[in-house]
Amino acid sequence: MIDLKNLTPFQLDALKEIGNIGASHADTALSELLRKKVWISVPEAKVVPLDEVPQEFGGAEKMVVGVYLQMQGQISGNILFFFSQETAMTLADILMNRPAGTTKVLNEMDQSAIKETGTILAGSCLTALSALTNKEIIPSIPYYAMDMLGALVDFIIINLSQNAEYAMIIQLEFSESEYKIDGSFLLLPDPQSLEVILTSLGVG
Amino acid sequence: MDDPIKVGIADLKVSTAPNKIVTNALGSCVAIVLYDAVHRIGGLAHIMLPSTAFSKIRSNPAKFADTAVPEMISMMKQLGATKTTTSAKIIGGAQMFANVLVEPLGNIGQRNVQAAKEALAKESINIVAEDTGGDCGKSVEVNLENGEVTVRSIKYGINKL
Repeated sequence: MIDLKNLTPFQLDALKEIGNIGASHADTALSELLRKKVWISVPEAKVVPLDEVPQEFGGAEKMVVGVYLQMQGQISGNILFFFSQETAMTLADILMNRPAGTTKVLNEMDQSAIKETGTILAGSCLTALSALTNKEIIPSIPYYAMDMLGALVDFIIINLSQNAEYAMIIQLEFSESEYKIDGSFLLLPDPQSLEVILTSLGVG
Repeated sequence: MDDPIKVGIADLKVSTAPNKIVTNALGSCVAIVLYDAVHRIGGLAHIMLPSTAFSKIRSNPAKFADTAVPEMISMMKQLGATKTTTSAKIIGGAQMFANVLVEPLGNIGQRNVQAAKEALAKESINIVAEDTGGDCGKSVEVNLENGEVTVRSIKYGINKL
């Protein structure tokens, strides 16, 4: 099993490159979907101790809306896309063609539209990952929840903790200035799959 | 009053009255609270997995229900607690995203709750209250003055156990 603590800067750069290509796909897809120019930050690839994952992204008790998908196939892992409740309301306004500030409660249709956004973002990143590694990756259906960030991520941490003490996370931050939308997109490959990814990229 | 004692993920702490012990944002994890009402000594463990059989990394007893319970009992004994006057409360074990099953664990929240109950039964400690399952995150505060547990969630507000 790969030792996450000892990933080289070269390997982390290769993982960041997955984020870069994923980001450029996601940028286009999200901008089209929202009909706004969405800005996606330079991706980060980082190794975080499992018990520090919630702090790394704003604290365990931070209230967020999250969309979760599983990666399955030749590369497995977790995808979590999360943002503030305000961003979720704004996203719902835009996606459902309502004037800004209309949404006060996220109904089932809004939740579906938000889940769909997660699917599109995940799809863009997984297409990039699949093309770079030449591996088949299938995303699960999207799942929606609104709660404390720590509570939303703990089952992912639990799952990773069976084989590792650290998580390797590829992180994209996205924002849109007019409506002040912002959020985070995290890709957490399983430790076994990280090895597959690094080997396919020629940096194993 | 001192700041409450914080318990992280896969962590456990014990202390005495009048201190408070807190842990935040339990999802599928489970908080096991022990309290000796006679000696006013208590502890809280924030466990991640049912037992050491589920992980290759087993050095931390606070990570597993089956090792956290005996560890907490022995730490409480050192402070003067006795098992016969100690009871338990358990909180958490939710399924945050409805229907997500993570293989090979399945519904991990449910399994953690079950394992916590088994570990407590093995030590003959009664469970006097629980707030488990469901689909929402919970934060927990234990008041070692009287053993009262305050559970906070966005869905149900405050629940006293």
